[in-house]
Amino acid sequence: MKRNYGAYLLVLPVILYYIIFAYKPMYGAIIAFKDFSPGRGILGSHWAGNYGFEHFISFFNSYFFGRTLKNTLVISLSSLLFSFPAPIILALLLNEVKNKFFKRAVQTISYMPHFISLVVVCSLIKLFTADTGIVTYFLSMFGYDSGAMLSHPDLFVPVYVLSGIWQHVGWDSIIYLAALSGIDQSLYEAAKIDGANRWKQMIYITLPGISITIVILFILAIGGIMNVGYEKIILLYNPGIYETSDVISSFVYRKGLLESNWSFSAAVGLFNSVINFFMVVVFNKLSKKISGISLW
Amino acid sequence: MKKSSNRRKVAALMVTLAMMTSLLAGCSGKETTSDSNSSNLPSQTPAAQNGQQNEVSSTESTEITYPLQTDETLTIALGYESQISASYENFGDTPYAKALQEKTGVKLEFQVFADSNALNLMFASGELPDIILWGATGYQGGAQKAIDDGIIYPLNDLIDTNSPDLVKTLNTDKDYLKGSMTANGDYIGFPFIKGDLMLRSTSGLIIRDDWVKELGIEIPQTAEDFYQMLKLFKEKKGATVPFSTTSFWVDQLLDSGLITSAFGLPKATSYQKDGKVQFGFAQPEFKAALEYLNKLYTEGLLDPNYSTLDNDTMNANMMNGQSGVTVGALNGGIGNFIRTMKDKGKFSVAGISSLVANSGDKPMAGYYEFPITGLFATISPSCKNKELAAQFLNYAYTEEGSLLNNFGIEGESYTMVDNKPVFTDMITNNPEGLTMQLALAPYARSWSSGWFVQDVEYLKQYAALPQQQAALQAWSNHDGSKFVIPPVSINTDDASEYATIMSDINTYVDEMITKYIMGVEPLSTFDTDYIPTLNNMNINRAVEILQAALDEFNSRQ
Repeated sequence: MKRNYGAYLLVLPVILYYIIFAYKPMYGAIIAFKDFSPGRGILGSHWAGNYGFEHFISFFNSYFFGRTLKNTLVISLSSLLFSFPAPIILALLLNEVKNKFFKRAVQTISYMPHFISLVVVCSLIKLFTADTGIVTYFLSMFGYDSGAMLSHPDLFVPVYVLSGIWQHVGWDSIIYLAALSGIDQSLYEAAKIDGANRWKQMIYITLPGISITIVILFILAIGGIMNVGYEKIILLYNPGIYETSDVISSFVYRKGLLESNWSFSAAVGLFNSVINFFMVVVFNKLSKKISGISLW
Repeated sequence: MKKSSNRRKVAALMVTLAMMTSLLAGCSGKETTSDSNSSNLPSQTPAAQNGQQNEVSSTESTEITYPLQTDETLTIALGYESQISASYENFGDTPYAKALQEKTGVKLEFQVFADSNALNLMFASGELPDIILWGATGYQGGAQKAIDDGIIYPLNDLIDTNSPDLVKTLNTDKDYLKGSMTANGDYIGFPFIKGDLMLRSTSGLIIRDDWVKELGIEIPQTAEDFYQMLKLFKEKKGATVPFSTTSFWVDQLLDSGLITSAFGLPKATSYQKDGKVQFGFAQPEFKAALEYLNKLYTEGLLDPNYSTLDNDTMNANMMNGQSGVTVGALNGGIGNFIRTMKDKGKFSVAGISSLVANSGDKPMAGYYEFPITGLFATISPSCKNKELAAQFLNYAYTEEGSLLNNFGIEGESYTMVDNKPVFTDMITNNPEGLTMQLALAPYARSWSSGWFVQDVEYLKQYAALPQQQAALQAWSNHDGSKFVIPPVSINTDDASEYATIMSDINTYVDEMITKYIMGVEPLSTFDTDYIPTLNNMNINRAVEILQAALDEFNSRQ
């Protein structure tokens, strides 16, 4: 300890950050087991019925429990299926591009949506998918003719996932590009001498070279599987498509902030977090067994 | 051993991260307020403020003289209004706010909350300003719950000595008094009162009456006439979306019965009929109304984008001739259209009454608000000098205060002509070309809301255009007042059960209405699926609770 006090000093701000912004707020989670009333404060509020589990029980019994859970899983699994490989593919493609100017241009353009405020992005998505929007117009050439896309429950998930790829693919590819640049160039030279073509080089050198990055990011993504961000959902949905678009976090938002049912929404949020945590642990174990790569 | 402790550390970190990301409501972190506030809860310490009270009542008990002698500052929170921010950065800089402080002698600090989310966050934080202007009866669980939750300090021990003018006002009308109290007999706060029938029906259907004349048809009365008119607008007038509206206004038009009236249903939400509470969306008549709207939608007469449309686009549709019908308000709608289109070719709009089944009938219901709208300026339990707050808020109910709230500042926004306040040219015909609403916004509150009695004289001058006066007549021509449920207060035991039931039901109904209108769900499921689901969601219990609250309200003396 004494010998390394400099290092401890350096890490101190980070520890403080977690204590202040991560551990201390966790104490507020007890309102999930209480009937929180702002006038009485967190400690002064009465405990909820059923040994404190009243709000959890009423969530599980809610008419919308099954649906929000299903939507959350559908949206995040399809995001995982389609959004997760997209930046890897983009990075691999960019890696093969030899023209520097073209490469930079593609990168810059694909980053752009990431820097636009989500509110603006969602207005754009709504405009593009309105009955006179550009995407709708394009689809109409293939026979689509049922008006605004966001008024059809079936189309919400595709719109959500595809627009998500458009938003993030450029930005998310950065980390893979970084990993790619770390691959030893002499491996490629050796492969060329052995007569490997570009495709073979990619399969046998590039992909194995970034596989650790891919697995780590995949485990982290699994941890967020129940975390469909409520911001984009509430900016895009409307009552007509709740059926496929209402997820746990948007449900929490409506309950907690719009109906000031704080304890109930805290209970739902806590339930969500516990599942997330469980998923991370399970997949970390699995990955360790299968590939030997793990977070801890 | 070492490895496993590391593991635990990382595990703890992961829990933290996972929880942090989803704990929307749990992050208050203001636990320090819990102790100081709990002692201020009204139920626990009625005597806490007695010392000060005696002081005040000794100076004056029946009348309060303004300006008050004090150097204290009160903090007030009120909702954001774009009409104010259009010309003033801070509410406190407006001539109204300055005059209010000068006349009452109390220094004020204004906080503006963006919307009900921001307000709820403020409540959750436990740090409340001294006075909040908000829809207290709309609080989840009702105003009584807000009192129990420590958000409102009831006025009971303040009102007689510190707010004599409010008492006088409330005593002029039984509904005023009943509407300002909870079931327990607690005074909620200082209400916004619509002082005249005409002020309570200021929204409705708006149509292009110049088109109607050119087409040689009558102003529509029945649902069928209305449908035929929309068709003609589309075929003959080139209106691509004849009926343009937003989801907000579709809710409004259903909730106020503008269309359901034609199908024998006064409202899509809760209403009373012969003293019995009913939910319009659970009545068989509602199916017919939905069928009608679905017909308009599928034939391209009702805006296909309505569920995602915003107000600006809706107004633009109306003014560039893409639409001929909309739902709107007296000034934001009709007044706005006419003034904007004044020199831009032929354009005229008119308000029409709610639709009826047979022409000549009187419409069942239309847009109608109870005189006590549910908006109150409430005093917070944490307010240090509640007597001062009560005396300050009382000012608005004095004659002078009423003039300030309704007409603004003498010599600037109005002048006295024959002992009657008259808006100056700066308001009615603004030299900078501002609409009346924007011109009046910094000077008075009558154009919007506040804590005062809204004076019908203001509206007569504010909505002075002949089209607006005609619209007022058309929109108030209905029996809506018979069906409206007053701001009842649900007793604390039932409040959370009612809130839970209605929260699920409202979500479900919202969703199904949109689906039925858009035809995503066929209306044949109305009887087989929709109504049984509502029953499963325990709607009968909600009716029962609301009925008990209404009975209690009616029995108040």
